[in-house]
Amino acid sequence: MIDFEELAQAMGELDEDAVKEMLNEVMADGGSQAAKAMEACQKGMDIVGSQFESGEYFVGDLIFAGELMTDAVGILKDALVSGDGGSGTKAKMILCTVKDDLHDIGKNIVRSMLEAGGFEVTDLGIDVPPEKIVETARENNIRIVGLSGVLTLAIDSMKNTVDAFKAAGMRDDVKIIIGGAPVSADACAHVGADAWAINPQETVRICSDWAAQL
Amino acid sequence: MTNEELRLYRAKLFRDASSLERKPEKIPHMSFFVTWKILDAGYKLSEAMNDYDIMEKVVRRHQEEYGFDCILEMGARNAIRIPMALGNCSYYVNDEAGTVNYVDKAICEHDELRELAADVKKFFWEKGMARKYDKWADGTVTLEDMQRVVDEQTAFMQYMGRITQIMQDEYALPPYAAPKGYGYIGLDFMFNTVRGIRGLSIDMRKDKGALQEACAALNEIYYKPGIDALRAAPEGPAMHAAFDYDLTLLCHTILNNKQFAEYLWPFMKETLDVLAEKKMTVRLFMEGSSKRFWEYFKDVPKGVIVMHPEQDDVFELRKELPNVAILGGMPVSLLGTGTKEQCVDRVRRLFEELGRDGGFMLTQDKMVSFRNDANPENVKAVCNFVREYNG
Repeated sequence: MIDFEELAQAMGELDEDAVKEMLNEVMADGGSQAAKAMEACQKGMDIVGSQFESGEYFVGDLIFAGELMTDAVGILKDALVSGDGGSGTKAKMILCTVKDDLHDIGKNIVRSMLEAGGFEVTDLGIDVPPEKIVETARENNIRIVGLSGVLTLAIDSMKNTVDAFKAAGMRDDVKIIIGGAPVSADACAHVGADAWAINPQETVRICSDWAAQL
Repeated sequence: MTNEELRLYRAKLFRDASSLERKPEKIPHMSFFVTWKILDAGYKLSEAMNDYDIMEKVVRRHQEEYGFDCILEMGARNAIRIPMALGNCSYYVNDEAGTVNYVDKAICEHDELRELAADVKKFFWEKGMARKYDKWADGTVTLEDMQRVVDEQTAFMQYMGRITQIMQDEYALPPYAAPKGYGYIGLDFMFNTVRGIRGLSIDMRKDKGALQEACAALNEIYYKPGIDALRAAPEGPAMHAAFDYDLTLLCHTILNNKQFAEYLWPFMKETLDVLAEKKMTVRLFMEGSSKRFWEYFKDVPKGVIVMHPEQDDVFELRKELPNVAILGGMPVSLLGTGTKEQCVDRVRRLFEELGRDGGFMLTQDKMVSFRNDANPENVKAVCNFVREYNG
């Protein structure tokens, strides 16, 4: 029987060996505790987020945390699929890197943190044209959209995406957050987005608030 | 003034501003325009990047149109012809959008770090090249291909020599850095070329010993020759150039404070100590924000560091690090979307608050790369204002 507090702590400390050992133990015991183990991992990701906010961790640590979380899901997957997973209904959102920008590291970090925060993320990838984002939102009734970019030109693509939602008559139906190196309060106003963030914790917090209201 | 006198005068403006002890007669203005100037000249990116005659026209026009005191980039970035001699490269040029993207690709796996450390050149030859170039991977690379790479490297070096000379002789612009004035730290090479952002993030946490061994081996090739040359250089600044040395860093953008102290700072400190001994000046460009690390620079003597912040506030930088000269201050976001008046107001404030007592040189905060990064009318307004202000 593993100590889930200890598992959360190990995840928070990014102690890969300890995390994997405990998760493998859960699976060796038949996987009945997989949902609890998953919750402990998600709690550990909250610790990672807090460490990031306090300045103890930085981007590389978040990338590693995302990798570790992916591995954790891989270990527990079979038991989570066969059981109830303990997840309930998740808020859905779209995430992508905007048109003409091929950077995905920041987006992937944010995706990991959002998934750990309980979101079902539709990741459209990189270099995504506005029409595809609008269509995906329409077809899947998704009301939260995260637009990522690293290049300065991403600001133009973000604006074009917001304008595409307006043109489709859907702007009032979706909340749009922009993130990445070139974003700022001024850029957010220029783009016409609802919010901006330059770190994943802030993104999760804003999107969670929106999800609670929608 | 003759062209030579003007060139030396311009270099002295940078030197005086960098010293923080002598106020320059005028506040120098440097160009940090990169691929933008190709688009501004009406060429496609691929045209100029594949033709050094066109690139020369682009650089000439850039100076004729705007009139800077020094140009930091003269076509050296994204030298795609060299890797393309082997059939492919990591740069993706999109002429329709006017963009260049670089694909972050690991050429060494985590489990191979010790193999890399054992013999860097052998590893690159046997494994790294195959992961970078399709022809190498499928075994179809020929001696003629390799000769083309050498020829392209030669052509590139000839272009750089030619454009530097032209800008000196015909346009009276000092070179931006002294010859061999560039530092490259092994960890940054690991980040940029060997493991990529994701790979290095994993290495930092997974097996520090292997990473340290690999970095030590890379430092022997990339860092040590530079620091040895610096140590062997005669004392005193190279007064014909704007700065003596350039240190551009990217890997700190993923490092936490402990990792910075352990992996990067020892090499930065060694470089800064040698520069201080030699009474030389470095332009320090740390991509993104460097604010988390400012504490490390508090004791560096005046005249050593010219910091070029990409995302940090220059006014705050002056307060926190009065021992450091500042290059920068002009936000690309303002050049792109602001009005002429807003751009000029920004420069006026920079000059009055930061340039009043010296220690400030104007340039753009980011590499100006894409068409909408800057409105040409705004750039002209800024350049005109700088000339009027300076008299």
